[in-house]
Amino acid sequence: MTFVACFKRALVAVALIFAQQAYAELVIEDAWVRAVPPNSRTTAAYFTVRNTGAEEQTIAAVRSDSAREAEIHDWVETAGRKTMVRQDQVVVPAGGQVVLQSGGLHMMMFRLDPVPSPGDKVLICVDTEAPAEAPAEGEPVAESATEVCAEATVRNP
Amino acid sequence: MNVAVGRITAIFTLFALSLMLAACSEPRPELPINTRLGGDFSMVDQDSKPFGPADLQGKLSLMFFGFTQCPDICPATLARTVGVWKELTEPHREQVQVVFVSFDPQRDTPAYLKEYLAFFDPTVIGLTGSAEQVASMARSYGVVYLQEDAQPGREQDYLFSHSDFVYLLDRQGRVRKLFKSDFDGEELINDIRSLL
Ligand SMILES: [Cu+2]
Repeated sequence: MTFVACFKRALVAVALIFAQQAYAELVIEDAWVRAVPPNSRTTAAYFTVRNTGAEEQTIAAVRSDSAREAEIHDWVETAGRKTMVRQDQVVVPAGGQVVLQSGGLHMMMFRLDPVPSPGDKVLICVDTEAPAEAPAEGEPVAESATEVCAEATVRNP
Repeated sequence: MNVAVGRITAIFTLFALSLMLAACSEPRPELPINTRLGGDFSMVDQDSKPFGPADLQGKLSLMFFGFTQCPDICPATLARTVGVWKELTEPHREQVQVVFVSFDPQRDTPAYLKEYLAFFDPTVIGLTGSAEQVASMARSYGVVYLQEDAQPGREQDYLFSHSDFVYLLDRQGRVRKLFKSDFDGEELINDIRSLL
């Protein structure tokens, strides 16, 4: 290995360390999942994402071990109708937080598998990097280095 | 002043006073009857039995339109509405029914609704029907809903945008009040009691 190549590799390693520190500055708190009937196909997760860092962070993807698909939604009201609108990016300001709660921003969990029961713990994750390509049906999502996860309790509100 | 006139004056005064006192203790004006909403409909309940306006007679109804694949507002509103119903005394509970009307008949079949609603309470009535029946009932109650486009490859995950009022119906099935889905539980309970 030439000196230049080695130096480049070292730079990448350092960059990765910084990247990891950057993502680690997101903290998930007060996570819970709405208990729904056992034949439900969807539910929602609610939590607070706190950014303890000095730089703005952007959530680009969410996932859960109990749902085949997960998205962040917000409610928008137009012409007397309420619509859930998928949010491709959610910005968490430096030193600030974003609250996901019923009737507002929420993490939508599609195609529950399995449907969690009250009292269960469910893994929920937020990622500052969008997945490069969607996994095939039934394939588990690979863990990402920019991902922060937390356990959410399944309960009634 | 003779005795007879005195008595009549006293009786009249008492009568007037009692009227005024009754007016004072009247907690609120009676809920107006909404004549623009409601009317005839023909649906199917969670036991696949026909269900029409006649089946709403005799009990107060707390009616809510939604779809079971809705993960946030619909189950929350259903849970809160059933919660209010459970706060009533048992004799009152027997005079009030919770009715969930689905505008997603494709996924919300009677059997599916039966299992879904039992999670909240087995007495909750679930209504569905053909697309036309559902559209007709929604129209008469002023409910607006629209199936949104799903993302490519995820057609089964379609959602609806919709209005989200809870309807309080009297024993004759007439609409007496609309509540927003984030209604105040205390207000709803008081309005239910005023109709019992
Ligand atoms: Cu949603």
